[in-house]
Amino acid sequence: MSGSRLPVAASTRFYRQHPLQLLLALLGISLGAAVIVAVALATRTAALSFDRSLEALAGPMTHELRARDGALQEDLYRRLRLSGNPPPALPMLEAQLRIGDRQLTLVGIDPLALPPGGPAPGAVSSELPRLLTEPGAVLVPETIAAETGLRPGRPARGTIRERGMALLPLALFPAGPGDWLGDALLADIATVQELAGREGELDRIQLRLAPGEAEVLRRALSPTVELRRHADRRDTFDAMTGAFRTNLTAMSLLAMLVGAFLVYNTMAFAVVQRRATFAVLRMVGTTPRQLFHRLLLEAAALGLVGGLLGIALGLVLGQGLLTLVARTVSDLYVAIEPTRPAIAPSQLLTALAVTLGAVLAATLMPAREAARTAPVALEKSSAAPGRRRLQAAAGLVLLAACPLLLAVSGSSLLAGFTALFLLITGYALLCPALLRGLLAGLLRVLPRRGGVGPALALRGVESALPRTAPALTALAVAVAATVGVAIMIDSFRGSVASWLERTLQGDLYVYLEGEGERLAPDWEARLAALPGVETVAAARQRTLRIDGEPLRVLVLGANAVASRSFAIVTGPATAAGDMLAAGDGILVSEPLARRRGLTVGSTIELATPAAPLTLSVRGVYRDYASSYGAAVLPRALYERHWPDRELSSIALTLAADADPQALRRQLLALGAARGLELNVNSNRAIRDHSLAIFDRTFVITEVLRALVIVVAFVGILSALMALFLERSREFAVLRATGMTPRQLLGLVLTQAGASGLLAGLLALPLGGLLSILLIDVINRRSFGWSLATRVDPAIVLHSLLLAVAAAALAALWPARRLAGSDLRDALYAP
Amino acid sequence: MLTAKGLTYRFREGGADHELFAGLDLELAAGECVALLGASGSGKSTLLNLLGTIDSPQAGAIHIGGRDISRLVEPERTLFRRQHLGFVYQRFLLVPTLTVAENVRLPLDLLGVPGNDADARVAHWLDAVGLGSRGESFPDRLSGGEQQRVAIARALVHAPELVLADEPTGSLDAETGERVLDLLLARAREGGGALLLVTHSEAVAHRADRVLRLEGGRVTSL
Repeated sequence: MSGSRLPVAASTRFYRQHPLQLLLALLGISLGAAVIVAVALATRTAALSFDRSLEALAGPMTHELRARDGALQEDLYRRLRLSGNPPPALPMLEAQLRIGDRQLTLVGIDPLALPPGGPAPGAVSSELPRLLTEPGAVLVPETIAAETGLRPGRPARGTIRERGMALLPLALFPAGPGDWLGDALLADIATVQELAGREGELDRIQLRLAPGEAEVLRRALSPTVELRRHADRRDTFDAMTGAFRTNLTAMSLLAMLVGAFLVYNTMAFAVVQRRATFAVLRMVGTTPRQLFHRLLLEAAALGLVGGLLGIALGLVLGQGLLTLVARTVSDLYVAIEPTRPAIAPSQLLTALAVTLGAVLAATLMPAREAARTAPVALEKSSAAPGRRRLQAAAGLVLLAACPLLLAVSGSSLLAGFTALFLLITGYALLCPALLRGLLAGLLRVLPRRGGVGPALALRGVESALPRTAPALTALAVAVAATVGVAIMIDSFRGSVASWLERTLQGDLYVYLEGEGERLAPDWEARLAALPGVETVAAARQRTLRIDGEPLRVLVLGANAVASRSFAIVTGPATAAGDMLAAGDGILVSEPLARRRGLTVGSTIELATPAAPLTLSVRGVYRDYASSYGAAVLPRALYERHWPDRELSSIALTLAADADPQALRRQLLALGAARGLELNVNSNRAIRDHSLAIFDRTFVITEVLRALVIVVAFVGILSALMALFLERSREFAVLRATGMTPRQLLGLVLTQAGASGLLAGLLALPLGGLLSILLIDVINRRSFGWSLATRVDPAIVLHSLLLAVAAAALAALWPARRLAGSDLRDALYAP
Repeated sequence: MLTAKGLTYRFREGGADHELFAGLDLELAAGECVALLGASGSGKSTLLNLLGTIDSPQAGAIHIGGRDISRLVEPERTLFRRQHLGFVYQRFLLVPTLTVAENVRLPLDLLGVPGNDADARVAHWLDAVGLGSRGESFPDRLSGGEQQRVAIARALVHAPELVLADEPTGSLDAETGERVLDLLLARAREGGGALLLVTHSEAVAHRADRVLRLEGGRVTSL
């Protein structure tokens, strides 16, 4: 029959006669594909934006030299220039400059060493002599000049590290392709050294090295200096954001899974509707295999068209998601500015392939069912009891495989997601049997004196089950996904709120705006001396290399505030206080411990300015600030090995009678008197701000969750619409018997609502199981965080309402159409 | 042409086994028109399904054209049915999304009959059943009698060796039923193929060459 066009014509005409059914199927498929494309587009663009930021930072250079701790000595640059065959090298020193209320970056460079493609070539060459000789001479980007009012030739005042100074803008330069230092003022490096009080120091030396040169140079460097490849930062970015991207991809696959159920529903329904046709085809000699192939071909065509539509839709949707992804990446990882949306052709092909795969997989069962259609056996139900049992048994097997897989897969995230999909698929296979059981229970408890109405409604649902079961399953899966994700987010938020409560033990926190901005050591004593301040607890936060990996480390002194602010998950509850008091050892965060397999007693190697230091892990603490990992060092230990005494923040505990607002004003004035714009925030303000970031982070999850619901809604709409339209003769009989159109509308909506309620009830156990998997497996394996599960009854109630409303809403249009249809036509339709 | 020997057929319903036939025998010669009478539930349609490779007996053998079809497995059963059998049912069983001409053409298409030949055969059979001008219509535009004539044309278009007709006139008025019956009998007698006609009607049965009755799981001649 492969050459026969008649079965194809029969299929095509079937969809032509049911255009809405076709449209809804395509909509469901394309929505699933669109979510995949949108997530791919948003995450890829975020990565490209990071690349762009890297390029801006590195320009034409390939490597950079940095001190392992503190600053580079300028002498290194001199020796590099005097070496036999010096590579292109640019020394740089940065300082945070405040002009008026604007915080700016001033970058000191060697103007004579600017490589081609460097910033402001015109301004540098025309002003070179003055740039090298005039005190305070700077070149100003036009954008900054417009914001600050800096003008060439007009002296200005600025502050660097609490010291006021005179600046002399020489010229403005436009932003352009060579503007790889971003919006920074440029000056000769000697000028910045003088202004910042860092004579003889450099932050870094940018290098352009040919292949092979890096290794030669690395061998010649002292152990206190490290050579980094710019490209390596991309790897770090990928590592940091990997779990986040994986989670987004998983959500998009979940949308596709629900979309696949929708396809399953569409195809199963299309098979049921054409059972008579298939029976005839079988009678006249079409083999089961031919029927099977024909349906798969039909599904492939639907998948292809739906996939292509989905790609177009996904490109639009992706633009919206991009903003959310960029914001989350900026909030949690590194600041990025979203660039032009970009997606690789291979990603589009992958999305199309996943869509086609999902559609074909979803069609396998209906196609098999069609292939098994007995010739001329018209009135059999869609699934014989034997096969229903087989399906339920397969579901149980998949569910049983879930914990087994988790038990043997260690910490594999892929296995975690596989278990998640096994759980969903297994439960979905069980759903028809569970639906039948639930309905049978409802029918049994139905009051016998309630008249024919309730029985009519529920028996209508029961008789429709063979056809509606796939759609109700899709709805149950979608609602379960929202229940699971909602419980996970709620538990996560609750855990973060408790953690913030524990961590923020101080009443007020004092720090400077801007990364790397530090307070002078004397601020600790200055604040302690203020009336109303009971205790101060200073913290130094910086990046140190632990086992060769740069990690955020918090240095704390031994005090009650610091000791109380850690929830220890592994080790004695007093581990933090004990370690800080002893001045030895290290605390590692839960994600770091999980990622690196650390526990109490493990040793790590910490790079210090001198020799590496081996430290014993004293405890593992809960930390939701970084999924990458962090650590805590005693201040005494830090000060034994590092000369740095500067502070990142100071926590103040206030006396009971102190007025926090008055003290805050006093602190701001104290800072302003020294040219500093201090940040003084209460623990409540910091907690609220952190939770606001948390909520922003999960906006994208909420958006994807809403999309999953939309996909499911389309499924239930198509199923109910087709079902009710098909039962129009049955409803016509009811009308002929005396049921008013309004009563009929009520009956149909009741049946739809009851179906939705069944789906909602079925969704709850799956939602609960999903939340356990998300919280205890996926979340732990992705981020290393443990969360306290909490179930808000409102989530359960909302989910039930959602399912009922979705089903009733989906039935509204077909119900109105039925109620308003011509009775004679419906009764005597062929 | 058709020999069925010792057919046994059981089915399970309501948790109990029911035996419809035990050792049923039946024979049809080529070109012979045989009517099969029987009460409702006596197993007439089941017997037709067994002979038509749609169902299988638990025991016994069925030979059609010398071939033991009870031993066939899929897809041989389907291929056999495609090539050697034609079906007519009380409920017409036309494909609603194919036109009248396409419905008739379906068996030829499946057999890979070339286009021109198929066109000619379809035209011939549509003329023969009096629907030459309705080829482009869809089944739902036809009356019951017209739909049954399309079903007959489809059952005969590929010149099968055996035509199995299950109550072909059951849902037609007397006059239309008569015309449909004429068509079927004429085709069997002229074309050399056998016809097994299941009916409730004694009048219909008596137009056949031989009348059989299915009762208590056995076939007896009347």
